[in-house]
Amino acid sequence: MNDGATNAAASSVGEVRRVAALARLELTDERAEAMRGELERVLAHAERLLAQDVEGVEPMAHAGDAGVSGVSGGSGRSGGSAAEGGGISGRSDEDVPAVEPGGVAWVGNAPRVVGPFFGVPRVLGGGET
Amino acid sequence: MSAAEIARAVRAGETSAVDVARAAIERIRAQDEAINAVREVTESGAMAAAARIDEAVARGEDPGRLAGVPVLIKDNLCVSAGDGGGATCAGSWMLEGFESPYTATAVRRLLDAGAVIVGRANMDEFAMGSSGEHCAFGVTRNPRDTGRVPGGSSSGSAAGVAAGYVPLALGSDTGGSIRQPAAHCGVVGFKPSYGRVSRYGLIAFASSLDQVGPITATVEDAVLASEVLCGWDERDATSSKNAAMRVDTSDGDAPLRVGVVREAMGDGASPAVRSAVERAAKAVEDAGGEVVEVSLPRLELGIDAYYLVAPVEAASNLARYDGVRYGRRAELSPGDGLLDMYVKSRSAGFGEEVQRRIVLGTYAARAGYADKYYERALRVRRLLKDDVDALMRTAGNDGGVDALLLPTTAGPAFKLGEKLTDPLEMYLEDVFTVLANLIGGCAISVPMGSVGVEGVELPIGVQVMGGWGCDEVVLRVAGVIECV
Repeated sequence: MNDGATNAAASSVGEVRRVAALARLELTDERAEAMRGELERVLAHAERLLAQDVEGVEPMAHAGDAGVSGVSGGSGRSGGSAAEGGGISGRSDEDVPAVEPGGVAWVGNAPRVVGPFFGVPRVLGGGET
Repeated sequence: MSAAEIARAVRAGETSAVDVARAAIERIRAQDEAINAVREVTESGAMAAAARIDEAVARGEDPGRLAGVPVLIKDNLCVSAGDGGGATCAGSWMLEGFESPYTATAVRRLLDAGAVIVGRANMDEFAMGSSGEHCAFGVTRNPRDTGRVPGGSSSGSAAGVAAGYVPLALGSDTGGSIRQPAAHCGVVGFKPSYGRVSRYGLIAFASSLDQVGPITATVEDAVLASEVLCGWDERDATSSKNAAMRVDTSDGDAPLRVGVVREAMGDGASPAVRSAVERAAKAVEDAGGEVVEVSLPRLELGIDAYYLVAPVEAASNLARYDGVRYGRRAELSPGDGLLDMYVKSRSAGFGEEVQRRIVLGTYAARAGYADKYYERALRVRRLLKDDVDALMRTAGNDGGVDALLLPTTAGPAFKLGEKLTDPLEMYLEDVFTVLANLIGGCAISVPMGSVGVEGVELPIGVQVMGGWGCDEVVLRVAGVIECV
């Protein structure tokens, strides 16, 4: 088991901070440094995947691709097939209006409500809406 | 009493649902300070629901297959105020006090069958954790040894059943979160095939992997609960039209063929765990079945694929928590704008483990890295599915097996804090469980004896696994090995 940290790419605290910012997270100096090491170890471990020959293998993005046993069978290098008869992926329902809880129900948990709307800081000029 | 026994007695009018619910709540109040399996006792809702069950019985009506059965609901399954289920917090400060305007389909099916919700089970935050230690509402402890973890993320669900509060709890399983805590607590935990239980109302962690399932004290109760839970749901686009389940446990004529996974029986599992798997295999043979050795050479790669796929999906799913529509909004300073609100709210609302996985997922999915990490993980995921399919009789292989036998965990429950400072070590807890999630299959952990550690007998779990739709035969094998 490779648990070293030789090839992983999370190589700097700045890199970790930049990625965290993309996810709208702010890390303290201490957390950013700790997370750098943690990510490095996890990604180094995951580099075992690089040794696998995956040429021509269709990515399996969803368990719905599993289909129904006895129906779908293997789908590896010939290319992935969706669930033949599985009824999971690719389902298309009739476009029929349905009754759902009203607006008040949906905004009721908002941290700030302005009338029937979610309240957020002003985008221009600052301050609360 | 088991869920089946309680339901039978309540339906027959021999036992009052109110008395059963009251007794469950008293057990929680008497014992849970030491365990912290339950975040919230939902007494008023429980007593009202139980009274309705008793009234139905008095009118000569049948309240359902789970009549009067007290249940705990994992804190990431939405329950509306009208259904008396309390708040839905997903173990996170981010959702503290969140009251769902609707009820999850899985919970609805339990309620429609007569179950009574007595409380909300603690869990690792947003179902990310393998120890019950990553919860905003305190650590959950293992009832078998309160110095040890109960496993996770369905920590409170497993601990609550193990402590005898309830015979049935709902959990969710994204990479082993039902089975691993069930193994550590000495109870039964079943992850049905993907799409057989609706995810509507389950707070999303990794949508292509998440699945709701039962934690029980017996396989019989797991079967009963699964038959209630499974079914097509128009509200879940990934629900299968073939979701309904009916298990014929009396079907003993067809000999079972079970494969012990060679790669799971090496040094990666402790001697006590390997011995438990061997005992389970012997039980299959004693019952007239056949046991063969099978190989899954890429088994260990599952953990690497999982810890790329799941964080990428989590980073996407948890983007919705931005302090606008629900959840925590941080205190803002004068002049703070929209972006400040997002960043401050998320940084204050999410715990350390959730933030780690969001950053990992964002890292693995960003431009320039997705090919190296995420897409490769998805391709290996398909290879793993093909590997399992090649072994299964239900996938059209006449010489194949009906189910696979392997450990649930590498060893018994570890001490509180033992793996908290090493995320990789914690992630490796899931090495035997992630495969079923990645391939969309089903798997159940069944208690198989114990091992003495420092003077305490700690439970060991054995896992029976199958591909998509093998749930019925997997439950049948579980029933056979449970008898050991």
